Amino acid sequence: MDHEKRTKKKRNHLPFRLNILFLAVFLAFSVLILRLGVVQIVKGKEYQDKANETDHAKTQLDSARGKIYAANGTVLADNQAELAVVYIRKPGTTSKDNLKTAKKLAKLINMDDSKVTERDEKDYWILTHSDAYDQKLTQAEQKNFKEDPKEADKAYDLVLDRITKKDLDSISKADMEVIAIKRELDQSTDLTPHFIKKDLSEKELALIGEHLGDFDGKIDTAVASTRKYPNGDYFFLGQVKDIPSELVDGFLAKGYNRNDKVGVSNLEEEYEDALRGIPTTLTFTTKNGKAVNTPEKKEGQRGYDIQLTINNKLQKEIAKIIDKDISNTKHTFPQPKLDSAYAVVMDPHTGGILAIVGRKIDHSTGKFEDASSGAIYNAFQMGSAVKGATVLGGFQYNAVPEYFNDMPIVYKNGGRFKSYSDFGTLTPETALEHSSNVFMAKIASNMAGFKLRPENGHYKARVFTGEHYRKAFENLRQAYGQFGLGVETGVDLPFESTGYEGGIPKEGGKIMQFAIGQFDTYTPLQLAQYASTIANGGYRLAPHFLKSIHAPTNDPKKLGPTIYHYEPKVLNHIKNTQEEIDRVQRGFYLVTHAPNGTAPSLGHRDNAKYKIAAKTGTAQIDVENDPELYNKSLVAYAPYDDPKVVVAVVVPEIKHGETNLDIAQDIFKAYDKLTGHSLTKG
Amino acid sequence: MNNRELFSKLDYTLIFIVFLLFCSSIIAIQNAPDVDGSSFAKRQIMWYTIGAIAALVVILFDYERLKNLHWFFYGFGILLLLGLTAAKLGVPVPFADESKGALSWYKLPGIGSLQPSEFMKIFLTLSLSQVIVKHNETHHVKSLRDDIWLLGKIAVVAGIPFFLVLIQPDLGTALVMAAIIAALVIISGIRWRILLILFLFVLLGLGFFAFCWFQFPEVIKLLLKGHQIDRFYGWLEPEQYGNHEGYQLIRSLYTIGPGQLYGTGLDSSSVSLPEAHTDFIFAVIAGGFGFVGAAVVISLFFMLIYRMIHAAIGTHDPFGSYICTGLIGMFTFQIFENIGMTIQVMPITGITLPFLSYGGSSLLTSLMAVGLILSIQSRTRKYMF
Repeated sequence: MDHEKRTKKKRNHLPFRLNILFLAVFLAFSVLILRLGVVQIVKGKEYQDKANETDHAKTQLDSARGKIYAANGTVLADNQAELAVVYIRKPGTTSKDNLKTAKKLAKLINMDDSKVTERDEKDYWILTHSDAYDQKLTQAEQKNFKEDPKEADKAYDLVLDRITKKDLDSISKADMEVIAIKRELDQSTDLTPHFIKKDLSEKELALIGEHLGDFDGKIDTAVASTRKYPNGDYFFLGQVKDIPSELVDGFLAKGYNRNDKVGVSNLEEEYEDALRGIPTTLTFTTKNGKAVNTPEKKEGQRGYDIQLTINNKLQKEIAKIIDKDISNTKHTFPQPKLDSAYAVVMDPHTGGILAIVGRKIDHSTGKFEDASSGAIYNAFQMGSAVKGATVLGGFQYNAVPEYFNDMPIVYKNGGRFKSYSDFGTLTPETALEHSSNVFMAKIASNMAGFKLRPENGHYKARVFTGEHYRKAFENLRQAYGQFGLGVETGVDLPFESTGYEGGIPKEGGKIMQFAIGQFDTYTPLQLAQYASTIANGGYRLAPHFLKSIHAPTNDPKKLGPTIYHYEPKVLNHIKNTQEEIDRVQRGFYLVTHAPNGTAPSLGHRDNAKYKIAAKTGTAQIDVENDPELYNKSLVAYAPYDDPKVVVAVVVPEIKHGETNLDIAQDIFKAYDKLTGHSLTKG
Repeated sequence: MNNRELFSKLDYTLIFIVFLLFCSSIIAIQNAPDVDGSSFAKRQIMWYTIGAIAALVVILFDYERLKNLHWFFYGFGILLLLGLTAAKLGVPVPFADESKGALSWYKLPGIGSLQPSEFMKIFLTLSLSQVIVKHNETHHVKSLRDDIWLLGKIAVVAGIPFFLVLIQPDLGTALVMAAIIAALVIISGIRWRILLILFLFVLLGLGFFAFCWFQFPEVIKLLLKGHQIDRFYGWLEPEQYGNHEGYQLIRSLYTIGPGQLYGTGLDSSSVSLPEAHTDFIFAVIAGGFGFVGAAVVISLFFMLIYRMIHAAIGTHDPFGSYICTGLIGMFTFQIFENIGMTIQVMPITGITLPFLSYGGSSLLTSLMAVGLILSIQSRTRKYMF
């Protein structure tokens, strides 16, 4: 019995174990049912809500950029506005959808089909021939392709290959328009506006307007604007371009589209925030990644207009003046190196730049070309024009003698340093009048602790290069900086040059060269700021282009309401007394009015009425090879008793001629004429 | 036994269940979102017809003759798998085809794609069954050594195809094979002690993995590749990874959940669902017919398994019993894994739902398996005392 039981048990292990297995199956299925209950009954509602959740996708159309006006009302930067059809691709759009849209659009607009490629035509042929695969592929090939979605691309390529020229002949001229439109539609990316056609005719615009409703928000009309500079590409206006790749992230963060155009240099960049309009936004509601309705549209606003201090007429006139005066000089004194000049005209009370001009001969054509950016980016040795700053700097260190006898200075090594000629006993005023180098050397020597011992009609110089000397050099350079020489002027551009700073030279005598403008280099704009600082009584004002910002108006001839008016920015006041400044102004007056000044032509005869005060500069720039090659500069302002305008002129690499004076007097004349004789009337 | 007698003995309940599953399959495929459902449904009907004929052939064939023929099938299957492995190594093998990153298919022009690993599941069941039967016949009173010896034999026979499939890589099918092996090991007669130890090992392995997952993620990084880890994240936190690894699961839950008790109806599904007609066919049913419909389908599967267990117990031939058990393991695991992955019980792997998912090879395999079970069941000898 026992044995029997055991064998039976042994035999029956199978059903028992199968039952265990069945229990496992039962448990597994129970888990499924339970979990299904949780998903559908407990959390069903929640999942349903989530599945129905909608999201918003936003896209935007750029509004027209603000215009830039000159002070005299001329439009310097404008937009060429073209009416355009825009396509906004919704997520989930297929090629077939695009074909439908293209067919509808083709009825409304004329489309140029010159960009259409053969591939475009073939794609179209396949899309419009539902039996394309039957025609072009064998049964076996089709079966092959249907089994495996991966094969779809291969099959499509095969069909493309097998489409003949004859097949494509069936495509009509009207079809070509559809293809051309579809081509543009296919090139767009999701939710990024894509221009399909610019420069719509009135009729096309009207037709599309009537049918906008047929397109479910995919098609809209918009103004496509291209930046135009109707009065020439003035460098200070800058450029509007695609966002530079290294700046994309920053712009995206500010809400720009990746394909937006932005100001990338100078004023367009500096005032991007004002000039950029508020974009029109289109908000789509999406569900499961698909757009479900027509977008909600919020109209944007054109960017703010800005007005500059630049007087466009003066700007143009000065270009002519420079061309004429350089040509005349070259005619009288033929000299191949003379080929450029720069002039900056500023309002000494505001820092407003009225004109900033550079001209340079293109040697390949022999014609003058615009080189105005050089007035901000190029630096020159300015020579004696900076002596006003030397005297005022000297005053700050009690280094200016009341009287000093002008005689050559002789160094230990036999080197000589002298003025144009020996001018006898000089005061600070007459030292400026005659542009005495020795007087300036005396100031520098006093600052550095050098001794000038008179001996047989000259001075013997004892020069040291210790701490005292270095400190003096730094102090003089710092004093120049109070006038804007060698430092940032603070102009409202993203970038400016500060000139070349030569450090502190080992030879002590170099401080005398430094004191007469023959060491560091400065830009014409810095020179103008320096002149303006002396003219207005010691205030260093930041030069600027911006005059005001205006809200957009619909009247193209008038500026809108002022939103912002530029307030003059005082960067510092020079550390001098009014009396000291008056003395230097007096010196500048003598330059043009004393019979032995360095620029009497500016103070007499026809020019007398402008009441010009000035300081000339002549820097030897190649002492060893060409001692007669100079940079000639000039700072001037008028009227001397109530300065209204400052002019700085630089004529580099000139050998003969007073072109700097010619240019300056012509500028005063032109300024007076253009401003209703503001200099001469009262 | 003549054919007439054979047909009178057939388990028509089982056949009717399969027929109901066929109907569910066609309705679901027809309404699968994002694909041309009706054309897939037509092809599915075609595959069902072919499968039915194949099943009939299998029924008419006396399965006992497989005791002698099984090595031939097994060898043929291994050969096909080796061909794919060779193709993977760069040897030009005719018709071998790569799809979705795995070399699992032979593409036969004019017929379609064949997946040898699908058929290998049946061939493996046959061979393992016979190995166990033969072992038990020679060792009447089994010692512990005999049990371990049997385990070793099973490991060799099963290990080769398992490994070949795993490196395709087709983790899904490899896991199905593991389920077949496990089911057969359980009923092979090996002592409980050994089974318990094996079971503990598996548990320990899973426990170690889960422990590391939460406590020592660095260890997991050593064990799995980045995309495999991502798959786990997609499973555990689908909402966080909703755009990538969790995408399919989220789509599936958003399809199934709104079905609630009675379903949303078939054509109201607005949620797009990838692979809706194949791997995620269950989501279509559960969404369209709700909990009630889904529960009916799960019950159908349960009854199907029940009838198979019935056949396994009913037959007095151990060979038939083992074959049935292997196939039960196969079906159960596939059903559990496929339905489980749609409702976040299991991670997502590419396993089809038997009888319901669209796909020639898998349907053919399932129907032939049913044919095999019917063949065994109808040849059951009733002992009269």
